[in-house]
Amino acid sequence: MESVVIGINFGSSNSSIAVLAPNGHFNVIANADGERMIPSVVGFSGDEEFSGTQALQQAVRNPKNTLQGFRKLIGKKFEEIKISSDVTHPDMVSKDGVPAYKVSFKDQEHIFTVPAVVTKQLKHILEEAEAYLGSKVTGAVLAVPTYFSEHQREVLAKSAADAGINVLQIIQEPVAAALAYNFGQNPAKGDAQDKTALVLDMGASSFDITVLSVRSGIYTILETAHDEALGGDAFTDELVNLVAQEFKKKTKVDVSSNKKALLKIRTAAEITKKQLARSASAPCSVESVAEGLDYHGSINRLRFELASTKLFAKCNQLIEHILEKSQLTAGAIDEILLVGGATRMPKFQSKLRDIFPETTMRLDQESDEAITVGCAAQASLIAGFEKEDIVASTKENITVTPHTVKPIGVVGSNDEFFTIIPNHTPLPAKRVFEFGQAAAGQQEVYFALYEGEQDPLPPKKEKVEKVDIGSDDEEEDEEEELPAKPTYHKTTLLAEVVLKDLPAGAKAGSLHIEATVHVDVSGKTSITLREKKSGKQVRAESA
Amino acid sequence: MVLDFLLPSPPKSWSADKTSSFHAKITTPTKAAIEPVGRHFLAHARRHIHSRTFSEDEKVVSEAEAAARSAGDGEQDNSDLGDEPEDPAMLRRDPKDWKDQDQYAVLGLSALRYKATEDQIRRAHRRKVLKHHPDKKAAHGGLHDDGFFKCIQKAFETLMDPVKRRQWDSVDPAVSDSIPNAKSKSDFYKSYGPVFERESRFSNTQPVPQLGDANSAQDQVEGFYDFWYKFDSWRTFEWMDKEDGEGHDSRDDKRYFEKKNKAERAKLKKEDNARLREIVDQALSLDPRIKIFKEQANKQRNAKRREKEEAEQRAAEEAAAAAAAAEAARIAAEEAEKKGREDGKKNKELLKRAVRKEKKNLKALIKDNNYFLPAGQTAGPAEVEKQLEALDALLDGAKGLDQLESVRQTLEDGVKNGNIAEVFKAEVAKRSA
Ligand SMILES: Nc1ncnc2c1ncn2[C@@H]1O[C@H](COP(=O)(O)OP(=O)(O)OP(=O)(O)O)[C@@H](O)[C@H]1O
Ligand SMILES: [Mg+2]
Repeated sequence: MESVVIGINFGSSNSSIAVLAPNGHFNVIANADGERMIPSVVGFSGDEEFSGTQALQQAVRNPKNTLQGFRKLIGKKFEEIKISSDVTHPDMVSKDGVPAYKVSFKDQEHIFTVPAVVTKQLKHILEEAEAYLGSKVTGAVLAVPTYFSEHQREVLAKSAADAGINVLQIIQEPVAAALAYNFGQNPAKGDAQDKTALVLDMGASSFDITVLSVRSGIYTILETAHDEALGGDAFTDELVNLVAQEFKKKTKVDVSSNKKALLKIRTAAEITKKQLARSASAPCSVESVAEGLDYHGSINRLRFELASTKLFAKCNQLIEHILEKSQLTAGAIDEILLVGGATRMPKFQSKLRDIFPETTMRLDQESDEAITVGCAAQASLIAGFEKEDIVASTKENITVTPHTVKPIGVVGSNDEFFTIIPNHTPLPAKRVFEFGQAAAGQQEVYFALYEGEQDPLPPKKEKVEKVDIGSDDEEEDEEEELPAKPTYHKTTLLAEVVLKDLPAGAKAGSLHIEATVHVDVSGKTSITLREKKSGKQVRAESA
Repeated sequence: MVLDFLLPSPPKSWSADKTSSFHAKITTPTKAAIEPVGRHFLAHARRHIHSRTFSEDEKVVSEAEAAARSAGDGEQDNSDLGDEPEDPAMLRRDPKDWKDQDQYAVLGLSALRYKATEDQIRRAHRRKVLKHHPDKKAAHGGLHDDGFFKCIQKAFETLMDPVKRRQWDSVDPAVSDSIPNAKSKSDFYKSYGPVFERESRFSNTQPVPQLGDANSAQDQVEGFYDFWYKFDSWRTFEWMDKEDGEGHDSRDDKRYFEKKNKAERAKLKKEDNARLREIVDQALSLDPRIKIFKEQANKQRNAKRREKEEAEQRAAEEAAAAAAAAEAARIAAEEAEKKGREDGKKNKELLKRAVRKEKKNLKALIKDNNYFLPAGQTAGPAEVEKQLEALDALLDGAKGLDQLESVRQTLEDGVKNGNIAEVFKAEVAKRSA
């Protein structure tokens, strides 16, 4: 049977599906209404059961029977979860220790466990995909946050299987996003083979940061941090408060503890917030907020940003925190990969620029589609594989591998350290570099390999946190210091190799001497020097 | 990767016979998890599972790829059509816009296009019908209506009608109209060969001479350019005609549209002719063979001229040589003559000397042998006188060296035999007679 594989992003507020298009790109598919995001919502009303957009549409009207945010609860025990039980949330009970929703449906009370609800959502996703493709889906790759436990992954896999999905693999969200951005995947084509990225994923309900290194196309997660109180929802809340205040000013009606009213405002505010990413002000209209009174107003972006100052500051703190934890300067980050819909906020990006004035900020991928696209890319890579092979390749004996601790490189005449194999490189590793010879007519070259160490980080300047009025009048900044790129110095001489009998009479730097450095899993090093034109070579290997 | 770093000579302390020395191990690596995604990870897993080195793995993979490429085709009778994936956007096209659809892509013939044969179009159509027939789709709970099926039918109609197919092929946006960059350094045949192959489809005369390669003969190459400068193209631009707007059924409106379309067509056609002309001009100016032919012609002309010059020179040289030889012969003859003369003089001299010597010998002989008197007879002055006179007479009678020699011989024999007196008498008698 021909394989038809898809990538699924099952986010806590949105899901999406990507497939390989004939042009070789991975596209997120749109439903009949042209929507690419499928709300991760399941709802029950009367005799009917809905998923996605239709389920979300009844959220305000029928909140008790509208289930949202269930992805967070996957694999959790009932005691572990925080329950907000009020008129705007469905009731939750424990079913054999597993959290479950109590809904009324077909004039009856029903209990659906979290895994069962997840299955409903995933089934809906699968149906959308098959409707679009016009054929059966033979396999899918899904992604989970880095903090998902093994148990949570297993529960998700089981729910997916129950939904009829043949799960090829479950991968990590930031890694999926990196694949979508093609981060370090073409090391041969002028793309450096060794880089470090900061993956910033701000979805609806959390802000997840990952320091991801790529070494010759292979990813290693160096550090993660996340804040579950930070996300698009938190920003929407600020906007809801703003609108509630405005409403109170206009109507003298206080809705700050009227959950139903706040829910209504929320739906409108969510739309307003997205519009504010594109324009300096956006309208916000809510019909019959409370006591039959409507709200019609417009929100200025600056006001919204000002109201969110604390949230933005928290974002920056989390970023500073992870940099410190991973012993990296801002200059050590080669690329920033933006993931999640909330990273579209202009203020978020401009604050990021302040920390990383020079780092490449990747915007060439819709941020909330990156994970989906990465899953599809991985799915099509492994589509032809036997199930056992996929499983075998993800086993620890293959994925857990020794990594270099310190950079290995060569040292220039002024003691400058050039990295050949950086730290955090999975072994075995091989790097090929080309050098010239220093002097004209030189017929012997000397290659010395050193291990190095990073120079101490510059002392952190105490930043005077300006009271940021959200305005852009930051021109009068004292001369901005660029974050330093990390530098290294040699510590240990590892090996010396000499290549002799080179062609005579060559101009300085004109010979092409290829140095291949190979380090195996035990740290054993071999060096090959080869003059490309004459083929003269020497190979030496540590004992 | 090229590092901005130059390798120095070995340090002074480096001993000449050493090529390497290892000093320390790297810091003990720490275990960490790599992410099992991406093709580079898959390569890592493969190397691990099969315990291959980097280069072994590269080799195995490239061999496998080559094998897969060479196999794969063959078993299906529709394999010539390929297996083009269907762009989901295409499947959702509105059949009303059939004129703008990619007629080949709809039938899954994107790879073949104008090269598709009628038979291929029929088979491709059949294959699509089997897949997209509305009845079949409904059975599978298909969401879509029969929109794409209509698109298929329209494409088939277009491509099966020779006139319409030409109209479509003339404007197929998927086939390039590009002119290669004249400044490009790429291989002339590789960049222009496909261009002419592509343009050939518009020729009324078939088959169309192709660019050929570096080994093509001169008359072929010249014939090629000749053909392309006289290219007779059927390319037409009717497909681009603006539709007569609905409702305007007045004759004037119609005429107006017709006129406009006709003008537009003519303009496009003119532009296209210019475009082709530019391709041919450019190819001619860049064709390395044309340069070679010019050089060859030049060379031939030069060679002929040189040959003629050489012949003339050779004739002049030959004449000069003959004259010189004649002169040398004359000088030699003169010399020989002179020499001959001188030799004669010298011989006479020698002869004279020999004769003198011979006479002296005989005179000595007579003195030593009692003046050739009979033994016992004492040689008185009168006898001596008489005997010497007799010898003189004998010597006078003996002409030349030969005779002198034989006289001496005879006399010497007489001396030896002891009868010299008689021999002398006889000899004198014989010679002086
Ligand atoms: N243009 C925009 N401006 C501001 N916020 C936006 C914009 N587009 C989307 N968002 C926000 O992004 C969030 C949804 O992002 P995304 O779809 O990545 O979340 P998710 O993956 O489902 O959630 P999570 O990552 O928390 O599980 C919502 O809060 C939404 O308001
Ligand atoms: Mg997310």
